[in-house]
Amino acid sequence: MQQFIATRIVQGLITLIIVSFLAFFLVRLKGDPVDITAPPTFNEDQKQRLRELWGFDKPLAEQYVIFITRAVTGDFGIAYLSKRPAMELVIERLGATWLLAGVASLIGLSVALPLGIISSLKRNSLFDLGSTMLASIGTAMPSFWLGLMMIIFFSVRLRLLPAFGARDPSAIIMPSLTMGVGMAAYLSRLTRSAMLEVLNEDYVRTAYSKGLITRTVVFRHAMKNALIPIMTVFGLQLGWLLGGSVVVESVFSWPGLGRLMIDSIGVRDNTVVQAALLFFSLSFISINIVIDILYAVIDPRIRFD
Amino acid sequence: MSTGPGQPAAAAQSEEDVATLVTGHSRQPSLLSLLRRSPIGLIGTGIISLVIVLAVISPLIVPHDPIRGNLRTRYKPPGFIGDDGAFHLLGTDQLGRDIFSRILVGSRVSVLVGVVAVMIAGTIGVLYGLTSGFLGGRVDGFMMRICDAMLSIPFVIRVVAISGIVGPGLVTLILILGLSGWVTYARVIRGEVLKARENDYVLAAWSIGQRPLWVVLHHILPNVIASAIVLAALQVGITMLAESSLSFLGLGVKPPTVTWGIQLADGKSVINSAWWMTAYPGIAITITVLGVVFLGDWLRDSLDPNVRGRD
Amino acid sequence: MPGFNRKGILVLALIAVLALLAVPLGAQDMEETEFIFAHPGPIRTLDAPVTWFISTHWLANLLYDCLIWRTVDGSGYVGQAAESWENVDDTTWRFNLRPGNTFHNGEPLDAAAVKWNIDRVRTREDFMVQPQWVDVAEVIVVDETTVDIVTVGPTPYFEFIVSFNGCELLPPGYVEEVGDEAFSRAPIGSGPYVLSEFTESDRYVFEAWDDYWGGRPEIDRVIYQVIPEQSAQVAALLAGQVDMVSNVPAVELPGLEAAGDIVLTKETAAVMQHIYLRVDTTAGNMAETYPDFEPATLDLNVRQAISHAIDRDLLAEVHGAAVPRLGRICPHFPEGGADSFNNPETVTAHYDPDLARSLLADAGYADGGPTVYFDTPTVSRGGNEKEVAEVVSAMLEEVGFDVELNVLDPAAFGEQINSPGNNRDMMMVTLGCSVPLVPLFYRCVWPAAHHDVCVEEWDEVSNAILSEMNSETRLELWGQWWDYWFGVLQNVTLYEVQANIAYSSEFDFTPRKDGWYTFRENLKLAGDDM
Repeated sequence: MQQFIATRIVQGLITLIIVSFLAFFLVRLKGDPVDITAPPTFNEDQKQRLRELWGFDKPLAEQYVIFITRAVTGDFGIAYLSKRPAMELVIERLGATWLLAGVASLIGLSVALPLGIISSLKRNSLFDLGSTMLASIGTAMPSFWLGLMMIIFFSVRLRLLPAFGARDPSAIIMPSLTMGVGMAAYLSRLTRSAMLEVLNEDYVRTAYSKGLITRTVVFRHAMKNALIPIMTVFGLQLGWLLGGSVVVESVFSWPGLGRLMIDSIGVRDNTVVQAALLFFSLSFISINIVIDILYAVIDPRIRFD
Repeated sequence: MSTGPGQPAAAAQSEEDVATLVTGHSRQPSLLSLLRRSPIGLIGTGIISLVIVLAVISPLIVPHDPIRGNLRTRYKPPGFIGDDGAFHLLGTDQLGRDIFSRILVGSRVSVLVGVVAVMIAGTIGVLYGLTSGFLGGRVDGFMMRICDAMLSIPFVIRVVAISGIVGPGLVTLILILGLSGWVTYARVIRGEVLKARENDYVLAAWSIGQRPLWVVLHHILPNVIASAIVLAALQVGITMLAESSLSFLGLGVKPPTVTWGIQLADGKSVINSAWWMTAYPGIAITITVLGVVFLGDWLRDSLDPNVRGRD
Repeated sequence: MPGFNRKGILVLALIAVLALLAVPLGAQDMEETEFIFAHPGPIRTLDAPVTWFISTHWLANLLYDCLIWRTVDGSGYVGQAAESWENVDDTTWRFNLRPGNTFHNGEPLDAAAVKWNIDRVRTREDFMVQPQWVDVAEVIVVDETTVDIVTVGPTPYFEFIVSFNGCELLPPGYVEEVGDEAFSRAPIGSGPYVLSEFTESDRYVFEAWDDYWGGRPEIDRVIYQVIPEQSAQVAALLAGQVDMVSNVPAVELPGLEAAGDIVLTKETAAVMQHIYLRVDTTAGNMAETYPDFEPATLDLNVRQAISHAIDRDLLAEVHGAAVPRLGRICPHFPEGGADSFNNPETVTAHYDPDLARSLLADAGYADGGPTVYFDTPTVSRGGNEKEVAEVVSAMLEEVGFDVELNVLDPAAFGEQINSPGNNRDMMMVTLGCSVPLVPLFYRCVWPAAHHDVCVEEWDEVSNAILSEMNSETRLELWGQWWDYWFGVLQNVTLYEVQANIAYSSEFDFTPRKDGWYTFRENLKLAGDDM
């Protein structure tokens, strides 16, 4: 296992380098930050001097080398329009982003698991039908719509919750619910399906009907086996949430990474985009390592060789 | 960053495809009989058939011109009757266009984009996951690191990059949505394959010397496809919503083409007052998703080797 | 079933958490007055001269004083750091500073500090506002409270320049001590407010400064809270959690009015919505990107047909808060002479679809056509460009045009159309409407890929306006200028953009004519004398 983890970490680092490379060229594929950010009063000479100042006049390969050698020391450059280090701007928003992602995924899980499990145990019941409909609504409902409806109800009508920001402790309730609903919808369906799969395996049914095992055993056994797809999707969703959600952050004015990213892409501020991308990669790579380890923990037959 | 829960995209083969793929030979009669016995399947089929029929005949039955509105009757609530007697069942939008007519016509592109993009993502993802999980070892490691790299580049950046290479249009839209979402399937299927290939019957199939492709198609795929179908059904809705944001990044369809996503985006800034502009297209998406989910449930059950034939 | 019980407990727990966390809002200290403005964001560095984004300068002008600034009603200028100023000769402007004035950190705001600031902004090539200062030849410290600014040539609109973006005065000692980067983290000025805390592009808290030369401002705390979504801004106002929203969609107004404690007003945003028409194929990349494309708008008849086919009154209604216009100068500016083109009757009479059809026939399109390409961002400073462009397209098709509408997200629009100059026939554009800037656009040296108009005689007139110190002669020149404007018709003006402003009735507010949301003497508690 230790060997496996070590290998995965090395692989993770290689992936990180590949991603840095991809990201670097993707953001430069189209668009000139100087063209986008310079005022109409700038003439070509002035734009050119700005390009030199920001280092765009050098060949791409050279720019990449400069970028990567600085990046390993944590220096991603000074954000073009904020004049502060790009990494500082990203770190400033990590706390709020991660807090929201954490709470939202807890909500998602704690709704999805019971809902999915009960649905699978009482298949084709009214409860099952109801949770199917809820899940469909949950994924089909635009999060900006749900978010604003909550603001209109809880902030405008009841005057109970803050409509924006992340300062008040209660401010996290609505954004995390909005995010959690989508996740819950998704995971509950997957839980139901995965549980059904296991519950219907022949030996389980036989053993259960002959009274050889109790309901609790079925439940434990099924749950454990159903966990693999649930964990996989949960990990992916958590990964996305850790990167921030543009829609939820915009609706609730949550100071997260998603909005920083959109604002930066809008003006092609590569420094901030690249710094934020580092955290995107890191969250996915580490989540996926953890999930692979969990696979083997849950089902010891699974080997990675 | 995500555009919602899970990245837009994913899969849904038509039922025949999956059936043939899974069984290698036709089981049509049993599928049909299952449909007859499953109320969920019937409702799902009913909803989807209705949506498709409406989409096809929508230009013939729209009560008003969905593209040209009456600028004098903008933002009118549902049930509004104009001076000229024009009746707007679901109200009008910011240009005085009839929302009901636009929902009818919008179904065409929305459903097409939703379903095709999901099919592309699902097919790629399932095949990728099967290969990776089945081959295992270094190949699996390599293929999964590609997934990590894909995941690490946020949707918006991919979109911006792709916009630099290809021009906007329906095909671009479908491709972006389709090529963005396959990783979810790939990872889920691969996880399931890792588990399934250690099962007794798979090991047994190996031991009697069956060919790898045969083992994958006959013993592994049927055991792992359920999750993909469940995911795909939900992804249809998410894809329709993602289309809305893409259209505004300049990569989607252009006016005067109508989609539910564009309608949602149009009404976004006036939800406090003109709620009907977003509520009704939202309901249209929800109903469609419900149909697809029901259909997916039924399909899932009829393909699950353990469930098939029961109930 | 274990799940049921667990779920029940969970729901209960969730409700408990909800109830616990729902601390009553708005429990502010009653002694202090706080004003929260919903800013659409983003907000860039408050090292003000670095950026030219106007919505960032709204905040900067709370923190900093300039030498002089534009009056609230837009009719002239008012002293800030300068007590008085005069035009000594054609090229010398003398500013008399307030004696004993300091920055927030106690550093003296004297002539040397002013010179340091203007020299910094006009020499730093990475500063986006630098080009605005190219007309300054030299800054001379006469004595501690007197400073002369010498311009390269006669500059009649110098007061506008010296009070525009980048006019903010920074404390030289502090900036040099900590450097640009640290300054961006903790900026200091000499304005009526001190920046007490901020999260980049999210929330900026300004506290009143006791030692301001004009006295401590009446509102103790001004907060700019970034709320990106328009609907969320309106909801926050309705919930009583912000005090002002600056750009309310017209359809939301009745709902806000019904709330009772909200004041609605309308004021110019000091920008106008126009359509640029192609008058040549040389500007930008258009000819390279579309080698075989010949813009139909090269024909003056076509351009005139476009102008006459547009019902500006209807467009203004679609926009929700606009005033139809024909000339690109807002009437509140004391100069420019656009009033005769902008009065309602003239604008209404300009709409003449039959004339448009006959102009098209003259251009050889009697049987329909031509096809014109029309690029627009979904949204820009005008508010709802996409809807307006859709309506314009419908109007043009009414008289025979075939319109290919291309709607793009603002960033993509800037990147694909605007910056490289890939606009073919028509392009939606929102432009400032202040007199001193307009002639700049119509000189042959003006660098603009998407917008090229070089008519030598017009260029001369524009240059003459910008260097004529005699205001009467200048007005005559403006008269000539407008002949070219309508004669060339490179730019079809649609309307002057106005903003629907909604604010809490706890406050008395006078909107600024420059469309800036800077809160100084124009914001008071309701009930006070304004």
